[in-house]
Amino acid sequence: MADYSKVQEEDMVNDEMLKRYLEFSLGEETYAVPLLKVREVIARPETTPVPFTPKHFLGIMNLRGQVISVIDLRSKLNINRKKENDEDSAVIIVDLDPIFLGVVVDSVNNVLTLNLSEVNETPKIDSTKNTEYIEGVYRKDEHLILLLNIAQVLDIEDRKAIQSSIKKAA
Amino acid sequence: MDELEKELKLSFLEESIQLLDDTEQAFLDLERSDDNTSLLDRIFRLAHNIKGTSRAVGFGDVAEFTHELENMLLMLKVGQLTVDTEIVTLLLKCNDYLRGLIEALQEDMEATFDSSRIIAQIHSTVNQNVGLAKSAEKNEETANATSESTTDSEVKKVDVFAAADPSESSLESNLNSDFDLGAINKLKEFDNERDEEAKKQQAIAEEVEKYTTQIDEEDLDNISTSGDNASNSKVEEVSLDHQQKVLNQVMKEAVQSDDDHSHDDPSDKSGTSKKKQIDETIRVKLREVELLNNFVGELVILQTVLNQHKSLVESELIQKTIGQLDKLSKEIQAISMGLRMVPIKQTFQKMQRIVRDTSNALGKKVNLVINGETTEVDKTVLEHLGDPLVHIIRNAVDHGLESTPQERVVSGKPETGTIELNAYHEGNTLVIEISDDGLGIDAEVIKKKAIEKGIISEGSTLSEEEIINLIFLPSFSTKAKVSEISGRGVGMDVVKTNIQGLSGEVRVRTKKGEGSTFRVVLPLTLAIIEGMIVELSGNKFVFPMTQVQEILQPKRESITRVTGLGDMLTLRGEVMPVFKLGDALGVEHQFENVWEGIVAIVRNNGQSYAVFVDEISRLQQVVIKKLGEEIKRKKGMIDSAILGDGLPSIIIDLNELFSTDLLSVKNTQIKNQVGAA
Repeated sequence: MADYSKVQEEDMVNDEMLKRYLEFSLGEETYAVPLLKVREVIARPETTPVPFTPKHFLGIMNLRGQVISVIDLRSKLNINRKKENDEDSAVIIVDLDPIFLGVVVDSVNNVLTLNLSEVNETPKIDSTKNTEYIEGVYRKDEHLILLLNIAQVLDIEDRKAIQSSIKKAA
Repeated sequence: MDELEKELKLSFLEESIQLLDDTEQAFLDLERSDDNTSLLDRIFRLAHNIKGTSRAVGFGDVAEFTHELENMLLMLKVGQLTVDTEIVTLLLKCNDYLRGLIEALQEDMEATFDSSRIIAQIHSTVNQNVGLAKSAEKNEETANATSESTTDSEVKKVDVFAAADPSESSLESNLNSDFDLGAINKLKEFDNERDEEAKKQQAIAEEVEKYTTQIDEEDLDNISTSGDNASNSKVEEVSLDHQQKVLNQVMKEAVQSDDDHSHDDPSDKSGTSKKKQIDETIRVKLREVELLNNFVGELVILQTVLNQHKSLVESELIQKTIGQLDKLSKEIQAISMGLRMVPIKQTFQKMQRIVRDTSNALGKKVNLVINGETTEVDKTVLEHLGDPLVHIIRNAVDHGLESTPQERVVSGKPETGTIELNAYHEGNTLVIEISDDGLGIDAEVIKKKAIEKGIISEGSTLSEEEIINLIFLPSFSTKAKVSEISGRGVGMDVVKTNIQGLSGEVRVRTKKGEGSTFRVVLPLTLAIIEGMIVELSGNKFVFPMTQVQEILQPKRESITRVTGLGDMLTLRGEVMPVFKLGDALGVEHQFENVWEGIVAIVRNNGQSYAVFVDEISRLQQVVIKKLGEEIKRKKGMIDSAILGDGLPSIIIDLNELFSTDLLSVKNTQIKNQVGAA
């Protein structure tokens, strides 16, 4: 229950149990990131590959004169693409203070307002994937939405270098 | 503290720093020049300015100290004290102290200071140097008479500055006891001058409307009457500028004291005072200039995209417009980059102080010759330039010049050593040369030391240039003793690192017995670099042109494959390793053989190497874009640039990328040599 109480505490400070998330799809799965971390959503831009970076690191892009790194969440999380072509795919620009990061997703769906008391802790089993970047699980109608901590998706060395402002979810 | 007062104080503090630079320079000149009269006039005016203004804006502590300083300067001016090294040292100390006060006030405007210690030092120095009361008694009456007129002018002055200070009378009491008649006459002259000045100010105060034109006339007057050089007239302008400010302040105060509570349209007044200055310069926040430069950078990138795709548009009008727009963008870029450029003068002047202090401490005689101090350089570059320059200059005085003046005479040189500081633009770079006419660097000594320290091996066959450049390695100091000035062995490698941090280069040329020249080459600005865009199987990378010496397509016969070393290129008799860019970056090469592609020749620390690439697409200026830390920590990838196609590209620091390759080549070479021996 450690995770859960922490999440709760954080938001109690905000005097709100309601928090807004941006919901998006990766393959057949649905994820969400805190809306406050999202700077903007853009169509998939052209990127320049960077040598010696992992496969999920697509390269760098030009966002109106600013150079930003772009990662592909699907390949990072080993999720099969929805379609063969990426026409639908979008890039969410996330603010990881002090850097911005472009995150490629299959599609951006909508903005969710979640009551944090309904967020469940990440199940410990049920996945071969590394789950440290899943902050929690939210049940919406019949399917589950995984709440993602983007900062955790980056490499450990990257994170060290970036000094993420996002708290590690225990 | 209301906003107006705060603003006045802030502007005083900022200007004081400037003035203190001027006075420091003047103090140093004092020691060097024979005719001190005009210099002392100038110094006195500067000190007077600081005193007057500091009092007017309410920094009593500063005013009090400057007052003491002014007294001493007055004694120098009237010939009561003579300029010597001790006095100049004291003056410089006062200058430093004053700078300290100003800087502390910049941090905290409410700060108070106790200057009694340094004031006591002034007094004791003055007393030692001035013969005890000579003909004071005889001339007491005359002195009294003069002091009356002095008081008169003081009163007028006080009127103008609207801030009476009882301690002002201490000047007169000094006069009574210490000054002889000649001094008093001189003082009288000076007072007359000051009278006039005061009258001028009053006249100005009466006719505020015509103020600007009057200032101009007086400016002209000052210039023509003084008949001095340009720099002097500049000081006149500065001092008038100050008077103008003080006057504005006085007027504001007058208005406020008339009716303390109703702020009688102060905004209007500050408006007029600002307007007057706008004609010449305005102060802009550096941050805003940087922001502007960023946007202009983007503009230029977009313009490049437009230019490259101009032919796709059918309309001639649009094509023409794009062409015109291009010209405009370039103009805007040039201007906006120019905003960051400042003359190197200030930094150079600081060097004079360094030379003075260092040479005095070492008992050497040194003359510093400065050329090209109006050369402009990017503010950020300039800020980081100070430390390395200080290191090089100190080094030149300590290691470069002969240990004693006698030693110089023996080798047929003038007793006084000369250090020359030159700055000039060369293409898109700023070149700074620091030369001394001292001993020169003895390659043999360096070599011996390097072997001793295990930096190179006994049998190594480094060229003389390579050996001399070993002084830039960490922990390399040949000076036998560790001194206060230099010789801790941290100097030159810091210089090298700092300058490389600015994408610059430093090299030494030396001739034994004749002296050495340190040549520092820096980019004019850090925001834009001259880049060479290279291609590797469709991937584009940018090499900084500062690192690339030349580009060529090697002939087949100039490439030799050496076991353990890979390909070697023979260029004009020099053999150098060829590194494949693709190997270092994990990218496939389009060509397998070096002679099918192109090589860029890079020279680092006297060691040359060739970098093999598939193709060079173009040379262009690129605007540097910062990379996130997640990429920056990768070796050799320092920054990025957005190219003509709108896509970002990585800027490669070749020396960093190939540092390990270079090292291994060197080691192999040494092994081979040892083996052969």
